[in-house]
Amino acid sequence: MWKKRRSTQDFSEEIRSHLAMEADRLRQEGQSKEDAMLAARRSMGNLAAIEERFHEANHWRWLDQFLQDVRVCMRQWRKRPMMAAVTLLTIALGTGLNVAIFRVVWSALLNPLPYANAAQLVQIWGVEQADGGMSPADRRLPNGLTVQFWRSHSRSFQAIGSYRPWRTTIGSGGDPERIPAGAVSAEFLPTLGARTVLGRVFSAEEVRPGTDDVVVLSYGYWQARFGGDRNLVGNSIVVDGKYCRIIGVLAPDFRDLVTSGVKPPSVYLPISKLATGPLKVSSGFVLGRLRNAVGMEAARSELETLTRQAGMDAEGNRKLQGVRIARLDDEVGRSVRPALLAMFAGAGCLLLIACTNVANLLLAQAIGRRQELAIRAAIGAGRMRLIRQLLTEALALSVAGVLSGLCAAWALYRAMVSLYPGTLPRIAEGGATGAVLLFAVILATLSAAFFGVLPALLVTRRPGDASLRTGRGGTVPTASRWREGLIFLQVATTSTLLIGAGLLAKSFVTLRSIDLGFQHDNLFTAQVALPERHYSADEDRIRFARSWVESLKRIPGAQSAALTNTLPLAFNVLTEVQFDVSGQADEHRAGGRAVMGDYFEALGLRMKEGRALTAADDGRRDVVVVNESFVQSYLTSIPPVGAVLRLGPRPATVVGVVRDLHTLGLRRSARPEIYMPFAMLTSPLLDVVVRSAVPPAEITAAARAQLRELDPTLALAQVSTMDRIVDGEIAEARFQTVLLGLFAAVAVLLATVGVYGVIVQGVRARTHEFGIRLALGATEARVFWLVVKQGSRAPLIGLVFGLIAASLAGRVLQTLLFGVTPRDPVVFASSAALLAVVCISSCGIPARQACKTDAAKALRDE
Amino acid sequence: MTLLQGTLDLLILRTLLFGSQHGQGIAHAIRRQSDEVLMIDHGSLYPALQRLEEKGWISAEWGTSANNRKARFYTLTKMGRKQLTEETGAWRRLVAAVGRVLDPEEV
Repeated sequence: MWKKRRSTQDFSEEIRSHLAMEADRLRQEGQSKEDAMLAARRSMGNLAAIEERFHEANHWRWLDQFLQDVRVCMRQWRKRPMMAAVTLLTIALGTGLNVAIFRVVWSALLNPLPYANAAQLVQIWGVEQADGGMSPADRRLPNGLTVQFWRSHSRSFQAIGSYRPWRTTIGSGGDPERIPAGAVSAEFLPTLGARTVLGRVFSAEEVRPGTDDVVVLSYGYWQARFGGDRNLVGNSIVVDGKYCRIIGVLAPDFRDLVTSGVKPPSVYLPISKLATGPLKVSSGFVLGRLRNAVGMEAARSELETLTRQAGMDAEGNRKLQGVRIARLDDEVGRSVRPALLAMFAGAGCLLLIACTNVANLLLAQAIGRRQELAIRAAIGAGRMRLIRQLLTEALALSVAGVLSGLCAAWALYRAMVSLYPGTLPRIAEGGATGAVLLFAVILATLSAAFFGVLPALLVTRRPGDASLRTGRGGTVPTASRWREGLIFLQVATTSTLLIGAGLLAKSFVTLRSIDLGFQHDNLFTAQVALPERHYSADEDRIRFARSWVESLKRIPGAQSAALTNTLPLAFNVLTEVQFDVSGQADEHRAGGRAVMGDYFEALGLRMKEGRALTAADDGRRDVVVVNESFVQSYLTSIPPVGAVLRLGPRPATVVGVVRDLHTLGLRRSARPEIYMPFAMLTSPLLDVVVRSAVPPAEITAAARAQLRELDPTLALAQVSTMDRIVDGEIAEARFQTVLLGLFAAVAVLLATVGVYGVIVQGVRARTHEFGIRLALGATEARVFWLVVKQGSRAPLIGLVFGLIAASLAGRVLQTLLFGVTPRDPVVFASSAALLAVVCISSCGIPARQACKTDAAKALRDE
Repeated sequence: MTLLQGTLDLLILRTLLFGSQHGQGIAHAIRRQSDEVLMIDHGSLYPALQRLEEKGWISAEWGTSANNRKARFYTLTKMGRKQLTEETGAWRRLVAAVGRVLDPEEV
């Protein structure tokens, strides 16, 4: 039921009529007119208070009071604009950073995958040891036969598809281009629910050797390269030198988050083409869709049993002993999860530290306003009313802070995404607005609660008649303990963050100081893929490679040029070669590196003993160079130089030992490798290097022109410089280090301000006490140390707890660290020392003030 | 003498049992009937009236007083009448109980 409320005027009228009637009555009793009026007024008491009480009975009064509180708050801010600005800025930066990182985390890790029933989608891996884990080093790709066996016998899966990110050359003649491709089985696209706008996806027949010259285009590539031609399906294009029929174009809303390497595929081809292709790749990644109500563990053990039953080892691949299954949504963000979570945790710590400062600030401010609050209590404000006022002020602060934080977040997000050196999966998808806003609201509420509740409760605890009497702020007995608690929390968080940043920094320095084993400056690199159709024979490949190196050498400014099957740190398919050492029975495997031209000279490789391979060795099939790891693994018993290896039919002599390179990545150690002339181990993928001081752009243009002359159907791809490739290896570590380092620096700054502020207030409140101490004969040094000792207690305890917390939390960083354990004593000790010095020295200035207290003045003031 | 918490409501309801009355009249009536012992703080009278009106125990209407002044007259509602009976009973029991505690012999 809704009743119209009485207006305040109506109420006032009633009171006036009451007064008039009371006066009438008193006059009847014989008082004069004036006396009667006065008496009536006296009997009524405080008119304003009565009206206010009426007003408060109104339902809307909370809004009134809220607006009133906001007005009071604005007045406070106007009165002390600097402090308001600093507080706002603190909150805005803290929340802005968190919101920005949350948006990245949401897009890359939390946002549900854009597939129907995505929870059923899993990624399937093989492992070689039955107890093998899920680390990238343990994972193996099941080969095609295993997958086929699973597919026909498994009951746990609706579908099992295989795929492999690939690169392929499209077109011939004028401008062939190398584009990202997805080599997929027939099941793959339907499993992800891909629909087509034109034509269809692959049928089972089309994913078999012989009938597999078909391709499906992505919508984007269809638009970009073929202008969205609706009559395209049925036509053929040249893919890796072979005519392939376009059978379909995918719908624009299809997102491939699975096959994506750096970029999602522009074109899909049957995975069978890889096995018959030049590289003879028969394994692939495996994607499965579980049947309804089938658990992951059940599916896993079924596949494991099947794998053992089959006992397959068809192509001499190492045998799989176990199967591992992971949810697809976990896999998609796997590579960035540790880094993102570390950043998120760091930002969270920073916000906590910032909020602690704000809490301290508000507490001090509230204590300073005790007189005002006491007056308000004295004229009738209840405790709840005062608490509400203080909470409203905190909320207003946090809302304003978060609103400005959202603007900051927008910019920070942009900056982070564009500066992030790796690929952040799914970052372009967007659609995070709702989640981000919800997060911002939660953040605003939580931070307001954090820095608003404490002052509100503490200051309003006892109606402050004492502060009314003294007219000064005075102290609140328990407040100092709470402030020490806040400082404790702040320093503990800061030290954890500082140690995290320190660990990353040390890891980064270790990573950077790695001796790569070659000179990566002034090295131009690029790749050419030779199509199977024209270059299946070794002779054709050798002939092309030789003329390619010759023409590269002719580029003006080129000091040396060479080519190889795969450059260090560039991840092509590594070729494994089988060999045995002459005179020994065991057969071994090692990484094979085919080189042509002055490869050793171009890369500046250093020899340990013997000689390097040079251009003069290009045609030979009887000389090899091995690396140190190779010697340690296989040639310990005989002098390496001069040893004879048997690779296939012919023996080859080791003519030199080269120092180890981190060929697989900075974080991975070297493995046994054999360098041999290209003629001994040809490859359809040719990585070229040109050492030259000429700008890379000029080299690129010249190399393109040379290549067009040699074979116009080939495309020059993956053009880069070795510096850039090496930088790419450490870029993510650098980004993480710089970011967390910044966080830690800001945290230390905030903590310094926090500790300093609290101690200054403590000293100010105890001026009187210090005056007495000094008057009674305490030396200045004594007072100084008293302040330092008492002031640094809370921060130092916080520091100890922070160290403990960091030693427990360090494991979070484990995967990001290189060459540093999560409990590195140097990092712990130096972080602790730094923070201890900062904390103790921020006690120094207030302590000096304390001993300069003028005893007489302090006592007089009292 | 100050009133016990809650008793003012009871007295107002009781006063209105005899017919509608305005605020000043209610205060006056209580004072007179208690032989000038209970002095109503007019500051708390109006919030009490406000409260009772909101609960629906009394209703209010502007009218004209005996000496021709505009005044807001309060009337006991049906619900208020029931409430008065209940609270009177409760009050009697309370007084009797307090009395027994203070003077055990007399009862």
